[in-house]
Amino acid sequence: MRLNDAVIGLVLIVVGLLVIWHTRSFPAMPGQKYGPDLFPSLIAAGLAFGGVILVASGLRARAPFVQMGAWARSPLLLLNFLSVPAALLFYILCSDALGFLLAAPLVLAVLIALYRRGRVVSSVAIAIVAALLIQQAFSRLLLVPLPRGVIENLIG
Amino acid sequence: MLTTAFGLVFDPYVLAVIVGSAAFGLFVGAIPGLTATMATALLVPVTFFMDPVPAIAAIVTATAMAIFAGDIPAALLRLPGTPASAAYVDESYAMTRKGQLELNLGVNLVFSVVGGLIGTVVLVTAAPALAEVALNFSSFEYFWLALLGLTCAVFISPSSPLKGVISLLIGLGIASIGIDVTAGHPRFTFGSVEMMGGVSFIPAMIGMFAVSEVMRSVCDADAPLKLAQERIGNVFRGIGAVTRRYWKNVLRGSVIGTAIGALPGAGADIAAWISFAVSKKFSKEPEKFGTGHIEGIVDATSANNSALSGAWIPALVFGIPGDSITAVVIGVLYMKGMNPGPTVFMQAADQLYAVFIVFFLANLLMLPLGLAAIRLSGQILRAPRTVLMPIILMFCIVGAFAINNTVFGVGIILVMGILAWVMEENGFPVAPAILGMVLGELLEGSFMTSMIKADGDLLAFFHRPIAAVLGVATIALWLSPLLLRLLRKR
Repeated sequence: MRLNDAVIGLVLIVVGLLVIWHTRSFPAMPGQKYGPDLFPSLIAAGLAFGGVILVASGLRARAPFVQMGAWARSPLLLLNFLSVPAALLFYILCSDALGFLLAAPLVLAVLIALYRRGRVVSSVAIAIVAALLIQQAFSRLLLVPLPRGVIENLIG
Repeated sequence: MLTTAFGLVFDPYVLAVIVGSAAFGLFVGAIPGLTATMATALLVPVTFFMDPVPAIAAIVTATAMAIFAGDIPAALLRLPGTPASAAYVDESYAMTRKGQLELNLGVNLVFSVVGGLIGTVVLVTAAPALAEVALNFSSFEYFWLALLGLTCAVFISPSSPLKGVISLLIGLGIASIGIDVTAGHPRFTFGSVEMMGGVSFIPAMIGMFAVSEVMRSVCDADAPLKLAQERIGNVFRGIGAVTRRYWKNVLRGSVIGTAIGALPGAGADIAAWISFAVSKKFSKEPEKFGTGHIEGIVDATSANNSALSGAWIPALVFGIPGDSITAVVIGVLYMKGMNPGPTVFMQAADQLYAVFIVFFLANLLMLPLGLAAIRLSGQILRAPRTVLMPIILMFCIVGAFAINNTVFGVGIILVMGILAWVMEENGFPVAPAILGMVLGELLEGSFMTSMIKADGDLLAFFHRPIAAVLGVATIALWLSPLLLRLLRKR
């Protein structure tokens, strides 16, 4: 996904100005010339200034504002792409309620079957084995408190 | 001290960790699209519960192996396994087409080992010596060092300097999230308690180097891989002749590699590009380059492995990472109580010497294990990505979760993964952003401390002799593009 430099520049200008505006609410350090607002506002000013240069060069280049990669024209590849953030979002929202041993095989099975374009049964099998191995490694060996759910309670 | 250090390394558990991470590194390095930095980011959650020496040994070993293993698909598929092999991928493949696959792989293996060993010798001698000097440094010198490091990262990045600077500022901006270092004011946390601690570095790295790579890989319409040659013969035949003819190239590549590795922000990939170019420039037969000629490969394959060791010099002595791998390592060192800085050579001397021993050991182990990886390359390269990528993603999730035991870490990898993906798609290098995130706190902290000491007098940054030299050097570096342009106009 190639964005025109002007688009990126505009985003940087807006972010920079918002940050500068926000840093003005930071308290000063008593008796000191410089406070916690100094670095963020310098960084934001830099971003906004860089944004201005990008806008100028982007407008001169006359490129389209957004240029999608070849994958965006193929619905299946687009689905592949969206599957990654979707899987992460699903895990963030549901892992606590489902527990790792339900959420992880579910995510893995859907992704593997999607990328292999079918072969559901073997994909589910691979997903279950992989999730169990990861769960054993992290929660037994490395003592990471992975979220517990229905299946964990059944196993005990 | 050395006996204690040997005892720390030659322990069955540590040795098992080294062999395991070697296998992991070889696998990750050999698969195109999976990088040595990604291997490091994925290893960190696993090393979280280990003692310092095995934890760092795992990273040292895995990265050394990964950088070598990147050469294997370069020769067999014309695809670099890691970016560090990209400089000579065409040359490698041309050798394969000429029927010299074995010689090429042999050279890659042997001179990766030699380059790694030379880099390690430089690391072991230079780092303690530099630390002696650094003991006298105060916040003024550290401010300039951090700034100099950031400047190098921007100048060395291959894309446009403006995009490098913006990437750097994005990194610094992310570093400023959370409780600020001097006044304790929560910045950009929007009332969230989890944001107060700032953006945890390890999940951020997992997001930027692993999740973004998974995103790129799954929307790549991949063509079936076709190995250029199925059977691989004796890779050590002809190595002696190459060594006699090109031993100077090995030395030159290793020295250039170590030096570039030690520069902040430039790692094994840039070391390989530069030493390959140097090799061509000073070659007696530059016309042979591009036709499957071994000379440039000798330089570059030594350089990328030596760069790995070189990057540890500023990381250990100043806490300034030499490449993106040591950026992660610095985080690990802090977690393990081996705070980088000149005093680490006194406070954690035993562990540090143990790490140096691991460097030698890992590079020596590369010979047999690398050979095994070459033998198994057919199987490794046929590992189905359709299954691999989801499993890597699940590793990212669990790894990010394990750092703080909350799904907040998973949120970080999501946001940082998308950010890094958008940046790379649009020609913004990611390395300066990483450096900004690592050095943001040092930069601001040392500036604020200095200003409190000097009562707000900016000229104090030039009062101490070393600080003045560093400051002038930094400013000269900033002005250099302007001066060069003026000179050219004349």
